[in-house]
Amino acid sequence: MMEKSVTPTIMGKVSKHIPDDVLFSILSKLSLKSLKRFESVCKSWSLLFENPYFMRIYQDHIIHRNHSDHDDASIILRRIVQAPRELLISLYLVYGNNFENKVKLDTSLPSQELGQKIIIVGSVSINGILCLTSMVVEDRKVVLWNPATDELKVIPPSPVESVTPFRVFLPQIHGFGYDGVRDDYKVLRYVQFGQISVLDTLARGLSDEHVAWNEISYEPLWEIYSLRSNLWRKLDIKMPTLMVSFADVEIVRFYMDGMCHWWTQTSWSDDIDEASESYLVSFDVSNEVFFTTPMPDDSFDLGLVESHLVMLNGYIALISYYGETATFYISILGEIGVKESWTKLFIVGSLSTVERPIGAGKKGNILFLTKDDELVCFDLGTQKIVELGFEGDMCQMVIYKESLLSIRGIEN
Amino acid sequence: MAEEKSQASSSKMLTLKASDGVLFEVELNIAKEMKTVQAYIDDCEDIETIPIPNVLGKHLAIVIEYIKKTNEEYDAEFEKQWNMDDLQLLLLAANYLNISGLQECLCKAIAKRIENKSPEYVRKVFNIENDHSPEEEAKLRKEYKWAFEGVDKD
Repeated sequence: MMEKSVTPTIMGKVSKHIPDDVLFSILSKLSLKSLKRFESVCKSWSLLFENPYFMRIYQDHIIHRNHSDHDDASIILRRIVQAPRELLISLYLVYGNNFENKVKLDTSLPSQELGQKIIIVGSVSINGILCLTSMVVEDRKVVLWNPATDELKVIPPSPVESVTPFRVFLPQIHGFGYDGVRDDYKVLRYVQFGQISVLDTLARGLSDEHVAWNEISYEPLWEIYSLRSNLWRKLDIKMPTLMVSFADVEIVRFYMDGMCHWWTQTSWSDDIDEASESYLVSFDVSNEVFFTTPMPDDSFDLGLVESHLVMLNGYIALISYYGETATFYISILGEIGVKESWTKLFIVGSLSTVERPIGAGKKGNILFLTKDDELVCFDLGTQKIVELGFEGDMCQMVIYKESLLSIRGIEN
Repeated sequence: MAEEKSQASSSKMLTLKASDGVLFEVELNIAKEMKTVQAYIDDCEDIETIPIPNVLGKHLAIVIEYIKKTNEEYDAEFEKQWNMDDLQLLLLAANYLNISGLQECLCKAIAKRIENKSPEYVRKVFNIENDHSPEEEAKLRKEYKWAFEGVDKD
């Protein structure tokens, strides 16, 4: 424990020397970028990250700092349970410091519009609005929904969908975000086209005579929907697309501070020596430009390390699980686009029962799925695990802040 | 544990004497927000004048005003009035007097003011001597090149 030094005085004058414990309180409130820059200030500052006393204060700050997304927010958990002949989707509102209170949401889920395999786009509600779609790519509908008012808006189809019935429309939503400059809500998606099969042609009663096959374009494209204009618009941009992990279980799509983030991986080549690279892609919703941030080198070593992205209290964080030692490391991204700025800040030992994180709430509470498909809450501050008594398989978690905002009111 | 402020205790006045001799008469309630003063009172019950040897009169005045007026709105505007030197001296005062709310407010304010600045600027602010060798400093600047982009010019 550092000693508090008393400021010496000489004849009523006070010295300005700031003792270490006070200095650390100031420094702990700085961004990672500034802290790294200030390592150049002097020798002792270059050793800050090796100083356990400073690290404890800094970790504390990260855990307890309040990102506005978490103000008065609770969590919505989407659960899918396999029943004998159907999938049962339910939404739960979960609140309380350790997620101890669960209330099943009675509001009508848009299953009519979207089918059973509903998925929430992103990781937060935006001004109380959620964007939902179906996990089945061919069920292309997208809706905007306010659970508090039960207002539902089905996003109109894009002109691109009806150019010709002879190609299959395969959209993949990449993000739902807010444009602060135009006060607009946007949905970003990547559209691929497939060739319609002969069977489909027959099944749909289409005649393929007189079809100019060589005029049909199968070029994929990016498009963006704006709520204000209620239109889809093609984007002239080339971005890496979302990597969907096995069985749609983990689709990494986040929204934070005006940016839509998703995880991608360049494809494996046939050459075993050429490793695939993992990236975070960040799309600026207002300016409609994107950035890529490579993952740190040791984050995806096949078989040894497994990494997952979460939004942790306003930071982009990577939770890396080292199977051999059952330890977790949490790294924070210092600057989007800069691979070197991933900084390991937390080491959590011996969480052998957990498998992967679902998301993080306020105060460094991270929801994990255990190997037994149960949900637990891990408190990063106390490093304690609390069982939630809840099956977590196929669970999705979204930070939710209720609002009575009218969707129709934004549309012109 | 909520303290019930009885009429009797809230009307008791205390005198605080700053390092330059300036005297401040404050209500007991206000003085108690300074945990250092509280400890003093706990030790010597009958004391009427408490010496505050580390804090100048002008800063003690600001601290007392803060305690009286603190709320979310006041705190947001509070730090804007003071220059960097005063902010640091106020922080030292808040630290000595052990007023956690004010310490937090001032730490945030100082951090905000150095957030996008250069290492040279920060050295001046805290009166720190650069004890890196030129090679060490060059190495750090190279290693953290990304952290030097977009920094405010001094």
